[in-house]
Amino acid sequence: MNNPYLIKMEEISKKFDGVIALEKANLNVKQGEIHALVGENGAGKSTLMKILVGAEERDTGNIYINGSEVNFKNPLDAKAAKIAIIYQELNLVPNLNVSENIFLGNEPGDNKIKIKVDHKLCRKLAKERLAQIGADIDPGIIVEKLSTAQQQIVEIARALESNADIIVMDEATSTLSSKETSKLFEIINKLKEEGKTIIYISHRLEEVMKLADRVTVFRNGSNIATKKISEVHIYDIVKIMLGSNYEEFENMETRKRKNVDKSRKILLKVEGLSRKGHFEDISFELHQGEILGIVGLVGSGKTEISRSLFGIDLNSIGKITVRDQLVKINSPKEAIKLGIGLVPEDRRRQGSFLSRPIIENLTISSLDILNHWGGVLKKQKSLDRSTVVASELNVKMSDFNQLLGLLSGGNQQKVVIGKWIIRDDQKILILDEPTRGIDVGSKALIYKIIRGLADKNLGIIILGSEVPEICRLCDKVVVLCKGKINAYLVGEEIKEENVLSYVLMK
Amino acid sequence: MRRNYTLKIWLIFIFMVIVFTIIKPVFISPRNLIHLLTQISFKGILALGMTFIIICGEIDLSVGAILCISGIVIVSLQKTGAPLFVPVLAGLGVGVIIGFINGMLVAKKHLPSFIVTLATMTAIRGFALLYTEGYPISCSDSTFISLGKAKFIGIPVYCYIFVIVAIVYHFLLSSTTFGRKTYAVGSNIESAKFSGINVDRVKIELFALMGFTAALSGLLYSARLASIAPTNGQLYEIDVIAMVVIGGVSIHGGSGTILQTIPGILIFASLTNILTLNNVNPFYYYMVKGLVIIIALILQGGIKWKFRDYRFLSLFKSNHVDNVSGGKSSNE
Repeated sequence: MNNPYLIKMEEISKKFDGVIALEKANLNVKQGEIHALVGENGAGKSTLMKILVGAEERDTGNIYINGSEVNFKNPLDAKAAKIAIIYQELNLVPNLNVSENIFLGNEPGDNKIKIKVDHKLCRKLAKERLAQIGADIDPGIIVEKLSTAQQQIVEIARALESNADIIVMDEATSTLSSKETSKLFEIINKLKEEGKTIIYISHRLEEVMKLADRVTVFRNGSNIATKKISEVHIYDIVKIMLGSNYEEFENMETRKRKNVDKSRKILLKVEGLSRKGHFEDISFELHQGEILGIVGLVGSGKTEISRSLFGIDLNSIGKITVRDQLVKINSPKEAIKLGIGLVPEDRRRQGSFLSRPIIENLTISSLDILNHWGGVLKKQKSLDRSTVVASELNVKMSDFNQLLGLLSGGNQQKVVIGKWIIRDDQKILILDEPTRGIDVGSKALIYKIIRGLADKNLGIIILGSEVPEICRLCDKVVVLCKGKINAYLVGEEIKEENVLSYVLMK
Repeated sequence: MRRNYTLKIWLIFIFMVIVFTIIKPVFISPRNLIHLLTQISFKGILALGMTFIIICGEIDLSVGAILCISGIVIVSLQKTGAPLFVPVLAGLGVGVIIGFINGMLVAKKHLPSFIVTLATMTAIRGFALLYTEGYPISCSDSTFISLGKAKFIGIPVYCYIFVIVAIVYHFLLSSTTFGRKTYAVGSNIESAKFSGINVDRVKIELFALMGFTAALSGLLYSARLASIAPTNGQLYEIDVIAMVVIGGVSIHGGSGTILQTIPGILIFASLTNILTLNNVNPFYYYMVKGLVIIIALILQGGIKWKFRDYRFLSLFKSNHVDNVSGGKSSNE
């Protein structure tokens, strides 16, 4: 063959409002391979894919498919050229059923004037299509009622329906459990066997190692290296991704675990906490200066526990004791009064005000201590406090009036953590998946912050599903399985294999 | 960025004043300017209150009707011979109560404010017509009438009240916890809840404030006319929303300031004024207003970081619409 590469992107550059998103980025993808794109947030992976399918315009550069130059003006052009993209945020119509979604805008039938859609035919074809990728989903079911994993599969079925030869998947597994993920991998491998070419963007390097044939690493808008997976080790990829940051990350790996010290004051004691259908009989103690990990898969009930402790979900039973005082927490406001803070799992949706300035985001939970009589803000005090916190957390920003939405994901997360640190009556901080969707470099910084807070005698609870992260950070680990405590590990018992076995063991 | 927008809208206003003065030099005359100010005071006060509502991501269509019903309460209670503060407080109280009801329905019952206030607007207007049998009623309290006629340095007193309300509301929005909470709820209601803000309470307070503002406007309006008719204030909501939107306050909520609404009010008023000065057929006004709203919305563009409804992405089945968790985390 005279063109070894199916997709060839050459010297693609792109700027957004003067900020470089891509600078002379190249990408070569072979026919029939699974090609992974990895890199920190803002490295340009998603932008490059959007340019490939015409969802974004490029400033310079050329794109060749099968040797001939292409110039897609919008994703419909790309679709016609048999390229489909599945975005991070799913694009299904929630109140239509599966088959209607699969054939949306592409309804089968021989009548040229598509006035009436042949729903029977649609369902039959949809069933076939789903069976083809080994998925067992009823095509008549409303999409809203499906799990995220199933929705992802419907998206794939839709991509296949357009007869795509090239499928781009952006962070397909970021909300899937490991079981769902392995199911998805089966499907992807099946597609590969059928000769489809897949471009797979992911933060999870372990997945990339398992799935991909080749990987291209991006950093600061350029491709740094392309490697055959069979020839590299995961740490090599981390090294390439992080560049000079790598050393800091390695230092973070080694941390002395604090011994459980009974002399430290108990901050929070939970006894027999249950919420019907979510979790059952949860008990643990949190001492001053401790980092407690609660680990479990999606659906194990860990987020629900945090919601009950923070007063968002109310119908739980059991005893909660905060600093020797038996309490009933009825609202987030009451939780805050008791010195509890929560960094929610979904930063964008639950933690941040992207259209507001950084300073407002930082002070929003401390308005009660930052005002004179009658609710007039203490502006100077707000600014002073924010300055201290922002420098402590090393938030990269131009000034406090910058809108939060303009910061990178890692810096946004620092601000969300910062809004609790700004209160000096803060005693307990609950962090739900604190590093989800954050690049490895920022992760190291977030770990550092969390440890710093524990050293300041705060009690920290981390809820997570990433076992290595939990093992690295925590002094005590509670392992959840289907809403119940499966193991309570301290000290030397906290080892990855050990925790993993309890996470998975029924 | 926001500051840029505020500056831009003021510059547009100044540019308009210059152009209008060239077209019709009488535009800049003190007499015309005072006339302009008297014309906008009532709607202007409403627009100041509406700024809060729109920043919070809601809308209130009942402002014109509240203006009217409060005026009716004030004017008719005067006939009982009670001391003036009784009808005045009653009129303001009625406004607050209606606003409170709007707020309760929106916050506690999770009904869309557009429909709720459309309904209260219709109901109040119907009651006004029924109670007055369709006729205007005149004021009987001489102090009240003289309040409407009173002037200070040639400018009616109610114009000063408009200015005072503008200053107070600017302070309320920019420098109090209440203002911060308003922005937070409008920017991301879920995050507001997770930050310890009582979201329902903020909404109810906002609608009550709007009710109070509308009642205050009704008070001044009836004083100026020395009477009130059941059709007064009709279609005001359109003009008021237009003023706020022209000022660049995002219709999606979460951003905007009083300093943007003020040029919005002034631009809107100058436009009406110049049409009047040029003897344009009033029927054209509506077309011009509609056009101006659309242009303003286009200039606003989309708000990029407003969190849209991702409810359908939820992982968990939940009985509470607001309690859905497990959406997507953002990456790039």
